[in-house]
Amino acid sequence: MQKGGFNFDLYQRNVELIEKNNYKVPKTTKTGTTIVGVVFSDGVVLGADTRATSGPIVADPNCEKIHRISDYIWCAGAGTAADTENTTGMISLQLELLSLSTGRSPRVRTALTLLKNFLFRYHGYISAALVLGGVDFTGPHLHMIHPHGSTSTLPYISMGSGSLAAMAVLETGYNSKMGEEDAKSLVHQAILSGILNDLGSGGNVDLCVIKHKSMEFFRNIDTTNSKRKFRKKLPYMFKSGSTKILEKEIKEKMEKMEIVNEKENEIEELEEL
Amino acid sequence: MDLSGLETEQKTLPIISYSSDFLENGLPNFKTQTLPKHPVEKMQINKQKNEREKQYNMLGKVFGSQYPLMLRLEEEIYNQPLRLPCLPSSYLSLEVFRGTDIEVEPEDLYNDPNNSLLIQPPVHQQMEQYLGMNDLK
Repeated sequence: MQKGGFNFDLYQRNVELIEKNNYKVPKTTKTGTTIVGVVFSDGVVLGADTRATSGPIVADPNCEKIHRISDYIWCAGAGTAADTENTTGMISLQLELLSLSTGRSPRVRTALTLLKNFLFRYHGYISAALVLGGVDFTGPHLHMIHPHGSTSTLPYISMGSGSLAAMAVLETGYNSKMGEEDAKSLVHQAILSGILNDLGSGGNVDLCVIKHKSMEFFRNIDTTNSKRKFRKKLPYMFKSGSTKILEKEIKEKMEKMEIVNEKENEIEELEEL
Repeated sequence: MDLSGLETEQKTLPIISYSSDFLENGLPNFKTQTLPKHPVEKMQINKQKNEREKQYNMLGKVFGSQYPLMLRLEEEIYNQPLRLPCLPSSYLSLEVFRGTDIEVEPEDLYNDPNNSLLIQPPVHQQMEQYLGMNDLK
């Protein structure tokens, strides 16, 4: 019986292409993102840029990279956009079912285990690098999840192609006794650093502050990098005579001609007979 | 973390089958059945079966060999189709027993066979194929 899920029909064709036809395997594309998470005294701050690239082209200059897993558990995703969105959507579904069947509010650690097991099953073929942060009844938690299924628990995390730029800022500015405002500004600076110094990141800055039973989402908190300073006023108005005329040809309008089909007339004559 | 799906080394020869209905399924092509499969596909095929076997082994060692026997019997009972042949059964009790009723897999969300673009052969033909009755002898 036919089953749903992923389709592996083309695998054998790909193997043959690579072995016999010397097909060049496309390189794994780097994740064009900067995502950051920081733990402060009362909770967690997540930050992300908003550029989605498709090769060298900006596919979406203002996309949302911070996904909801539960009310107070949010996840920023780098990698293939479809993979991050669908993975976080599926785990959010599973977590909701689990919390309903157990009767308890969901924990960040549960979401971490679900994501980790899911990604490990697919051996890294689902390229979703995630920064999972949230506050549950045990306190604030922040984790990073790699596409192959390995995880780390750290006080500050950066992932994506802009992770080096963001990590530089985090290492300089982080201290374990930060308050909410300090943490927000640190994450903001880290994302800005990623946007300015990495080609794959750009657009606006999104922030998400999660505390005990409270969540604030600052969508497009900083739009200075996406406003284009020099923009021509549309529509384009050209003065008549601005393009030079090289040749002129005037065609007369043709009269309508009726083409009579001789064979039709013959058939009509035969029918009459 | 379960590594059961990683045991993918073939310990037996591959079982090659073909249907005699050439018009429906094409001429026999044994090559595609012996070629290597995608590592994730191999994992998916082996995972659930291996996991259940391992769990039964563990339970047998902890609680005695009668307990997994009882569980296997229960699973067999739930695995019976309760509808007439050719009609799909829901196997809800089996899903509850295995704990998969509260689990959501990509198999449930993506590539729903009901929405597939290929036209499925009629039910009687599927049943004949299942019972191996479509030999041209």
